Amino acid sequence: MHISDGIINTPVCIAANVAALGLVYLTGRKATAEEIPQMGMTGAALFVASLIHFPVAGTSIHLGLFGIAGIILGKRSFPVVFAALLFQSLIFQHGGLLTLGVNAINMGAGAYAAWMIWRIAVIPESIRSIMAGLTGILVPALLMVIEFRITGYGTAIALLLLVYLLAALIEGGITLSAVLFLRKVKPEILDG
Amino acid sequence: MVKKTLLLITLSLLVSTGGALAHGVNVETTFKGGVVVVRSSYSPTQPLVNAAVTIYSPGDPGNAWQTGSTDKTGHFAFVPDMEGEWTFVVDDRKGHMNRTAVAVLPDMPEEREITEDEVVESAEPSGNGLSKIHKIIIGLSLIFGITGIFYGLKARQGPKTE
Repeated sequence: MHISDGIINTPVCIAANVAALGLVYLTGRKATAEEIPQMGMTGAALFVASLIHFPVAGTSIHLGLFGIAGIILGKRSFPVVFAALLFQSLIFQHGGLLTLGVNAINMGAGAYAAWMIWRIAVIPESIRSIMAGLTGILVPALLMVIEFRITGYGTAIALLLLVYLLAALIEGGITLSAVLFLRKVKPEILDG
Repeated sequence: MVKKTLLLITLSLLVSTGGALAHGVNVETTFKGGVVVVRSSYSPTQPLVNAAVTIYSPGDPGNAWQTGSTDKTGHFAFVPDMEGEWTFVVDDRKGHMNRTAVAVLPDMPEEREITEDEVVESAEPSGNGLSKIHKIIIGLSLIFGITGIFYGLKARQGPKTE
């Protein structure tokens, strides 16, 4: 899901980096002292999650946990996604530094979509958490496919969505488990 | 004749690929009828499948000459169109990367394996000699360290809400 350097035009990447830094500032500047440990813990989980790979159809997919990030952090999820991607890029070469902004916007959009779904209180919590996990992966995957198409890749690139659909199902299950666990041990995290 | 021999000796010392092991990524290179064939693997039985490959030509070492990926057996091949030092980078996108420079000589025989002695350069640029667990620990330390700094700064400012 991480787009590497050299795929998207440099001017677009620079614009995306500027936009992402602006979003980091806007969504993170008023974080309270109580929120910061949650952001750190969620960022650590996101950072490590990308190393958990599943082999699928000749390639491999990895966890993202953007749905959980959206549920726990709400709008504070964007700076956390950005920081996790920055460290993944610097330490593991997952994605590039130039495409950091594009990747952060893609995956941050996934976390925000998950947060929006989580806020629809009329839907039962278990269904909401599965939907949040699904959208946390499918929204970034859809954005990535659109960006690849704009860059000039053929329509076959859309087949990637099938692979990510499987990843999304796994994430849906993990998000449900996490929500059930948090509801039992620390429900205020989910209601914050 | 002497000049040509000297040139070949110099090129052999300076240039060419081979079996190169760098932090778990093994690269074996063979020259076959004008084609450079490379097999990348973690171990003899574990190839680097679908790893990203970037090739740089001697004429323009700053820009990729060709990009692609390894096959199911960890192989990729390219046809060099000039003599000189060709560099390729194999990246499994999971933290393992190997950069190898190989020499394409003017009088290369039809088929031969490029030996380890002929490797110009083989390194793992992204690895920095660290294992994955070390990298995870470094990353988590940075994240928790930065979290602590921000927490300290915010706590000093006192409770503030939006």
